[in-house]
Amino acid sequence: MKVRFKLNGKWVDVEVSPLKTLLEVLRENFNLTGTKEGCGKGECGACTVILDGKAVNSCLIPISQVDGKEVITIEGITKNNELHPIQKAFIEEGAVQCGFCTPGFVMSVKALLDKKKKPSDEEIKEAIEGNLCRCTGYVKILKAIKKLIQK
Amino acid sequence: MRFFKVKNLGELKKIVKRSKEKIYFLAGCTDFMVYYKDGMIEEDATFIDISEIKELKGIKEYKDRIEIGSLTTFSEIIEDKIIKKYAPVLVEASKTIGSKQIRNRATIGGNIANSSPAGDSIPALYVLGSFLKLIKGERRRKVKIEEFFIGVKKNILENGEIIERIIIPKKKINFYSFKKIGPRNALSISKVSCAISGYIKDRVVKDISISFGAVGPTVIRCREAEEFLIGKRVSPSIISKAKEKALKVISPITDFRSSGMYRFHTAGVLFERILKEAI
Amino acid sequence: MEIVGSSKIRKDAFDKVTGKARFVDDYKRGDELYAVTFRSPRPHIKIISIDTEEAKKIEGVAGVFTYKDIPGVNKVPLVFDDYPFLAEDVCKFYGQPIALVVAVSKEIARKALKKIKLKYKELPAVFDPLEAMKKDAPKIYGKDNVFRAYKIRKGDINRGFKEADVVIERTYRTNYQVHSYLETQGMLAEPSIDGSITVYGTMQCPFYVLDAVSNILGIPQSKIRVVQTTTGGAFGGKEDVPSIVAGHAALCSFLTNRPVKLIYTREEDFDSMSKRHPGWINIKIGAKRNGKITAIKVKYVLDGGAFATLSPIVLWRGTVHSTGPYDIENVWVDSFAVATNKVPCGAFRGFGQPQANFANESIIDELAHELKMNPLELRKKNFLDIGKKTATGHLIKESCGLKKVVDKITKISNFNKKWKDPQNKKGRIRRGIGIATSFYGVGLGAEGKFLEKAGAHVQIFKDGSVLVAVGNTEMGQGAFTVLTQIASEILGAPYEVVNIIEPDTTRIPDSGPTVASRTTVMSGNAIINACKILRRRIDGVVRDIFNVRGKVISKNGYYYAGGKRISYFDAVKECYNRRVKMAEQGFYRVEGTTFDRKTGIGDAYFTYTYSCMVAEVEVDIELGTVKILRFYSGHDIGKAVNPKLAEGQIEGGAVQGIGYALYENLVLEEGRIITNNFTGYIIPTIKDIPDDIRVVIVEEKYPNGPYGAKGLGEPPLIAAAPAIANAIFNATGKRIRSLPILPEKIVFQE
Repeated sequence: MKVRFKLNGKWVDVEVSPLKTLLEVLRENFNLTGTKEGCGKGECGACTVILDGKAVNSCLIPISQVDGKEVITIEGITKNNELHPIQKAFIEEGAVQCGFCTPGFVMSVKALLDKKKKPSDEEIKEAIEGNLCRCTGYVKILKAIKKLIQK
Repeated sequence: MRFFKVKNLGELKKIVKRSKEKIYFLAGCTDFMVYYKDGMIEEDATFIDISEIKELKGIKEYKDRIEIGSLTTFSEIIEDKIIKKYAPVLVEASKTIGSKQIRNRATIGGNIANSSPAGDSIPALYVLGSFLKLIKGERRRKVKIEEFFIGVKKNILENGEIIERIIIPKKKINFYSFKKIGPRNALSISKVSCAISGYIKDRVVKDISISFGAVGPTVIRCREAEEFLIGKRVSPSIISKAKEKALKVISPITDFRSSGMYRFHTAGVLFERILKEAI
Repeated sequence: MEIVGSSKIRKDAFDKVTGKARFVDDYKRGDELYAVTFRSPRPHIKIISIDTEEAKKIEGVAGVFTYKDIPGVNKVPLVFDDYPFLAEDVCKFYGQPIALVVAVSKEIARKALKKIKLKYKELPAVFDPLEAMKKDAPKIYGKDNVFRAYKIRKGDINRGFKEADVVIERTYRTNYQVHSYLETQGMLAEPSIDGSITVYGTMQCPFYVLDAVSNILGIPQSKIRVVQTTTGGAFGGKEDVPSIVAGHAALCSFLTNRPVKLIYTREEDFDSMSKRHPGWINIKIGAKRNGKITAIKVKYVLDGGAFATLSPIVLWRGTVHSTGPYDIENVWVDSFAVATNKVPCGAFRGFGQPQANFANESIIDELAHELKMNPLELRKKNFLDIGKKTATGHLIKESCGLKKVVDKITKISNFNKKWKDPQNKKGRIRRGIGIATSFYGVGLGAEGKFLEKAGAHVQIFKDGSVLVAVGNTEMGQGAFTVLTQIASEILGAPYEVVNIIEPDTTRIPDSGPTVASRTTVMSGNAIINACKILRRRIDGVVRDIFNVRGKVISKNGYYYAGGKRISYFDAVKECYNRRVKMAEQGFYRVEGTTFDRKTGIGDAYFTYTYSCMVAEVEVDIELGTVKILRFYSGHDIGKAVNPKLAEGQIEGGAVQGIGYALYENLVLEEGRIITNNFTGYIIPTIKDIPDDIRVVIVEEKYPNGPYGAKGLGEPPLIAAAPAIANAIFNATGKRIRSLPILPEKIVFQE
């Protein structure tokens, strides 16, 4: 199946099986390996990307459903090598340990902050409730997000 | 594998008509892709991506009812003003489903079609007295939600048939609640859930609907308890009598998520709590 | 000190937030093949035949391999050599590897997998370790299914119980815990020149992997390169089992002469990789009315699963610590690691201690209840301290901050004020507070002595940049940042120019495994030893330039001597001009740990980390649900080289401990794991953590540690579960003696 979609700001074309997941296409066809597979079943959030403005699990999206849409991945949020403020906050607060879940968290937070500049604590938690982290205990991740919002 | 992506019901009709073998429909895919990866989907089948059928989207208000397109996602339901006004219990239930990422994709039609007794939108749809409009080719039929399910992950949908919309009659209610006990506070599959909505005036029950999720092969509506309560003044002893009647119809099992005993007990606790909150 | 003790930004943070960090599945070779594993469909079988012909015929399949294709030795090298890379005649657990399929794509490999025909006969299986110890149980290992037994005999146990005014006996159980690292196991193997092979992958212990690959291929270790890729969490789960994955990938690559990728699915990872052992612990404890404990008797059984892997040493650590951080005169411990027809268990943060600690710290609370004492007071009467002896008779001579940690934690949590007798509590929602403590022997200890060494190579380049090669690894815990800080501090080099190379067995010294919270002490000391030599040479040059004597001090990138200063970079340049040797090796080895297997007496570890945790909970007694309101975790770690990273370890450990206590429930049916992914196996999300996790760090310097540091990686998990169990008792009066403490247990326990 031929699919055309906007990937990190550029229109791209790809011809793959329609049931291939967006995650597989990103990693295999576009070498965008910043998006990770942690479980393959939508239970961990490591594969989170932004699809038409919404955080989604790319491991559960057949590529046929991406046709004509816009996808933003972790690779698409730095401009001119300048880190996105969310990335800076994660670094400064020590919200990163093994790093496997980190891109997914960053994308979930971005989807939230793109819609709402000053979300409540509850809204922050809701935005990242689908992202599992096994290293940090979430404490410093939450702290990083809260600090960023206060700025 | 034969794969089609259709944009409207007309196109869908044609393909369904042509297909002789098993048809799988793809909507939000949050369940479908899991089954596909687990090898539970037959490869030699027709796959139809219905995610962009316009007629299946949107929420409409009519004089006596609201209609929700089957492709409406749970995120859309949570934010929708019409649903908030006429089916707030559905909003409450939708909030407890999966995670943000899942709710952004998962559709209400998919949750119903998957037909798990733990599907969290279903108890809410039960107490709202919902109907489902089903469509296969030219044929449309309307069924009560309770008539749709026939077992664990089993329903009356024929091969090639889909859920078009969910019809929720407008009803006078002044209290509602959906409570769920899962293994954790997010990304959680219900061990037990309970939805109640109704109208109570001066502590007297004028109207009430009660349902339980995950305590039987399908979601269960508690008609006897409802009938018992209507017209009664709610008191602790009435609640406990009603609870007895409500629990008579559930048949929770023991599995890896919980024990039958706990589910039974908890169903009772949730029931009591909701009624106590209502008065 | 300006660098050690400061919260420097992680070395790998930039790459990780941008998605640039490359984990093994992110590597591409272009011509790689994909391998999948064919596994035992039942928990105990005798293999009659394996027919791979149909599978081989599928287009795109490059090979289907069984044990017959192994050119080397079919044994995963570890404590005992009982675990074959690929099963020969018998499979002892559901999911045991039998064959490997290699194909041009994962899809084709999976399709071919279904075409393998296995004929087998079912053998009787045993799933419960207590059953497995019975005489008539099916035999899986040796004559009695016992992989290893330990004992401790200190003092006179009978006299101890006679002296007691109160004696209680209780039994506790713990379930499995699954590491749930977010990155599953995976390896990429590729042929390199001259018949040698390179293996890339996610792992803790490159030299264990080296042993394994050398074994299975039968080629010398010097012809193998093992490279650790960025590792997405480990927690012990990537200590020994990556050897299996690497062995398989290497075998496939060797036989096909192509790069081969072998990446586990989450389900496969659950089914076949190591876990925390389920534990069964019976304790009898006696004390005087005044709270002085006179005797403790422990029977500790670990469910090892089908093969020994690390069970013997897990058992040993658990045994040594099984009576808690207390000075008890009369101790009697018997412990057993037992074989069952289930997935082999291995290392997981705490390594045999959390199970025993749950039992031990629960019974201390039960004893306090029996004595009508505040549990904190009871503990204080018996704590280890300088001049006191551990269960193995180890006299503590230094660096014991237990009392300090306990005092600080109980002060900030206001423990004594909040602790009230549970009988007086009423209502549907009840609050309670609980405490638990632990001590943790840093490093491998006497039973792992032969591996207790570490090396380091340090090289200063002409431009001043520094490369450090160490044998220990980074898996998210922050080791490379901490080790860089140490090197930078000693050398006087800016933190930014010091880096640690990618672990590669051809370029790093074998330093033993990256486990047992040993890296800061072991690799830290090896780095210090190398850097000190280099620093002495630089100091000599600096003194010579200024023509002064006396101490050279480094600060902010400058060396100061005799009132003058020179920048670090200029000093290095000058060293090069003078042809000073600017590369050096360091080595560190620990001596003096002892353990007598006949008596269980000895100086088991070189030092101990001491910990105290307090949990405040709210229990809904009708639903049995537990909410942790606040969690306090304090540790005496000698020195926090990087306080922010130390906090991160403590917070992360707390949440893993909360998961262990309340949520994580692996369910097996007939030896098969049915909750084999994150849908069924529940780990905490952001919505399941306490609103407040408070961290306390105490620094009672360990004289032989780098800047006084001890170990930290594991202690933050250990005492969490009993602190929570004790808090639940304090809230409800219900004593739950098995983990996890599910709502079902709280509701239905009288």
